[in-house]
Amino acid sequence: MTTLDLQYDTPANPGNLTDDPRQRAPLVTGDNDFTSVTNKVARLAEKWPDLWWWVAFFIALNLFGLLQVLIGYLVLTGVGVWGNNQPVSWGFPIINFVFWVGIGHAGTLISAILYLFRQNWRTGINRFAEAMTIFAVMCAGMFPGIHVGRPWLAYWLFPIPNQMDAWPQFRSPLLWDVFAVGTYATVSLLFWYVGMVPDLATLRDRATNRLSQIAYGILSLGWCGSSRHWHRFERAYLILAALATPLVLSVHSVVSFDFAVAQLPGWHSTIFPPYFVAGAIYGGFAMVITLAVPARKLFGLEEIITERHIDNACRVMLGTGMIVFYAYSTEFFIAWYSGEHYERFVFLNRATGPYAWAFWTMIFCNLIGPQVLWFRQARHHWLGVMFAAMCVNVGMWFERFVIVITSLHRDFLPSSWAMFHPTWVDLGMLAGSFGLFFTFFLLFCKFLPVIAMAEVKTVMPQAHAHSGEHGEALPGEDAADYRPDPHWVERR
Amino acid sequence: MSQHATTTLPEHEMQPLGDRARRWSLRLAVVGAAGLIAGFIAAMIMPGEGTGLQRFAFSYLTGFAFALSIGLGSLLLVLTTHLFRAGWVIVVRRVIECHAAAVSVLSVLLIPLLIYVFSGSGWPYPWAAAVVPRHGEPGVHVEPGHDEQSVHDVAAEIRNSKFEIRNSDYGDPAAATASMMDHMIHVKRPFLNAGVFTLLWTACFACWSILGVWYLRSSAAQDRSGDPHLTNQREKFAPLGTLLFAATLTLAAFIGLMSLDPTWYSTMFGVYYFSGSMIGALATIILVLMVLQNAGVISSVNIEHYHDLGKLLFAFVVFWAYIAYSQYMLIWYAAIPVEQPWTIVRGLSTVHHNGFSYFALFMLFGHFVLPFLFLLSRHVKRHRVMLAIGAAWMLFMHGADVFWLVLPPYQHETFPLPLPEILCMIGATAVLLAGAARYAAGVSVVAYGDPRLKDSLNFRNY
Repeated sequence: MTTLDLQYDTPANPGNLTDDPRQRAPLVTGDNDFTSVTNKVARLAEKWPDLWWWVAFFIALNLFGLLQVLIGYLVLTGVGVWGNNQPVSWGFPIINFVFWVGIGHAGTLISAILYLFRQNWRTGINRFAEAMTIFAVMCAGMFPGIHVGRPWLAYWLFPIPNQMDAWPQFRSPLLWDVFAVGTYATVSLLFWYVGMVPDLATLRDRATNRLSQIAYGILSLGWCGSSRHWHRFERAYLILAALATPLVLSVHSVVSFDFAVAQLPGWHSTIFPPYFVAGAIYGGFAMVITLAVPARKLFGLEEIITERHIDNACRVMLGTGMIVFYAYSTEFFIAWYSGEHYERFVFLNRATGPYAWAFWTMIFCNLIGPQVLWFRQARHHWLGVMFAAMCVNVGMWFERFVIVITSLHRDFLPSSWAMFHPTWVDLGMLAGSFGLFFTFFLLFCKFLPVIAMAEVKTVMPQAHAHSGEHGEALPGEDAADYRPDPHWVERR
Repeated sequence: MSQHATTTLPEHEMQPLGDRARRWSLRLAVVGAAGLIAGFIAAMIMPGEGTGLQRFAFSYLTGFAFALSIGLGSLLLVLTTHLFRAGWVIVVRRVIECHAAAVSVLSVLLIPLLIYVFSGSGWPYPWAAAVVPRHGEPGVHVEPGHDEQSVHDVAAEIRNSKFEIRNSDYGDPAAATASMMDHMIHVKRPFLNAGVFTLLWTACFACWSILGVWYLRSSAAQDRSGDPHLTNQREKFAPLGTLLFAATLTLAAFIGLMSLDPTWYSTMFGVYYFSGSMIGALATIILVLMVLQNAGVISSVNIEHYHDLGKLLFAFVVFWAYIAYSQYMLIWYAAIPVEQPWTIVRGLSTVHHNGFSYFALFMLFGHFVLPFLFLLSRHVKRHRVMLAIGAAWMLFMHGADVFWLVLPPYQHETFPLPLPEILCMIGATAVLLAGAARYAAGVSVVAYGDPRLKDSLNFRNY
């Protein structure tokens, strides 16, 4: 009987990147135990920030300040400060809104859907992905609010009983957005916070100054780690995951309705709901990778956010990118197949019209650049990973630009055709929204546990000290020690 | 998490099924042939809006699309479980693999459809008519032999006269629809023609057959050799296979089902057919596993596997509703004339009532609301009889869904009694199952050579 030559752990394939199907790769590498994981994560919230943090925070805070100044200028002057015109009545604000809502999708996908799918690797990245979701939704929610023309009346969007018996237009998808995004933000915030309670209690117990003890003490809701607490925690987490799962699909579906319910060629496409959801996850994962790759290095978390986590995130990104590719192809094919003059024109205009540069930027960034991730070498090198992620970040913004601008700028009446030119306020607000996002994200990194310590510990071998008595293979455990066939045993 | 000691695999589950499966295959083939012949007879004698042969064209397509969806759903399950390196599925995967491989057998059932297309009758596809129907006229006759040049002449005539037709048809929706049909058939001619139809279906079946058979063979080879590299190999090709699958399924759905109304189009249609396919496949797999278990062929499948299959079935019930609702709502909301007739003939209108109006409500409640409430329960998914009821119901509703997609263009003012369609669906599905049983004859019922077998045998939901 020949012996199989299994060269899985070659130098080109180190760490926990093994493809050996007889094992489940360990999700925490190095010589770590529960204590070391707690020390590595809690230390980040306890120590004085590094220089790079201050530099990044300074830049982000300035951009955030710029955003606030520009909002003030907008409110005082009116929406004419933007480049919006007729026929391009939707410009940068709606593009930025859809872009940021999309970014906000990955967090809940990782926390809720991957949790229901039993994807244990999510524990390494779910906390900061959820935080990213909250801040991205904040950025997103801001844009429609300031786009209504009279932002001080934005509360009219809510169905508040009033003496005039005036109600919002319930048949408008923009109103659906208010409910969809509002629900999503609420559930995401709850999910994020509930999952963080045990870790906040850890920070409370380790706090050395009075202020931290009080702050973390209030936030940790009296958590003491009793069985009863854990039982309730697990139940709440599962219920929130189940609630958040349809929300991941519904939010961006509703966002897509903003466009798809219209009779406008380029917007009215029945595939928009799942296509937008896939695009959102694509963009969201790109942002997760953009943040995770430097964060694991700068925070010294390479043994918790391992190369396997990055590899898996790249695969998810590639997969959702393929769905986006499918949607683009279907749209173009159906534009031809429809036999409709206007449908065909819009798609030809996208590829060959005055905004062809934006269209081909989108195609390169979303469909061509990220294809490097098919190659193992690219997925396992920070340069390849960051190249693909940055491509998608840019590409997904341009996707929304292409959808919004190119469908509008040449409408049914050629005499009303016009180009859209963003103003400095448009560009400043886009930059400022990144400032808002990173300001809050950096504050989160400084004050809250960036890794879900309690959850990571559940996927470590130490949490399954009796795993030998169990049947299934756990991370890091050999899955192949069962073989009823004597020949097989002999071969191994 | 598991609290149980390692389970072992019974010896008989590692033996090829052999003659037993061949006997099943033969019986199922007989049922398949009998079903299709009975469907033909029923179509010929059923009252309807066209001739018996015309009705059979639609009935046969219903049966074909239904059986194909089960095979394709199985193929995607094989591909995606490799894509995600799933461990829980190993015990049940061989049964799924056999169904996926059996898609190749369904290529035989394509022949009658090709005969219909090349006959120039225009059934079930109006674009395949040698004589392009014209409103208010007996037809522009192209004789003899309906050669291609003559069809182009007809198209040119339509093109040149379309404005005249539209003006003269003003205020007459039926006439407007007919002239639009003429125009659309003309502009879509590069895609909607017998040559592309044949080429596309041939390419699709080649692709599905290669994928299905290769995955089964690789898995069976692993039983003999135990080589874990085979798992790597299958996982390596899974992404490419999934891409090919998505492209071919979509094109097949477009030309096979969407083109029943050449004026209508929907970018969602491929996804819609896919969502139904997954329901059909999962329901079938659950039922087949239960039958095999009752027959004592497989005993390693336990309630945990059924629970996971039930969860997937539930997920796709919701997914189907999401896709169906999105497609319908967007068409309803935009109210574009070219899109609406497709929904109106299927009873999805509060203004135009027809034979499918109550059927549309039946789809809403039967395909989504009731199964959603039923399968939501953990208890149901972990109870064999209840899950079997749920799976059988969903298989029935998936059949109703395919019927709903295909039949209305044939007859919608009154509801067509679906006896020929039911018989054709039974017949075509029996052919698929006969193919699956034939493939099962040469392999064991469990992929015992898979390195993740232990994961699956001891899998527990938590």
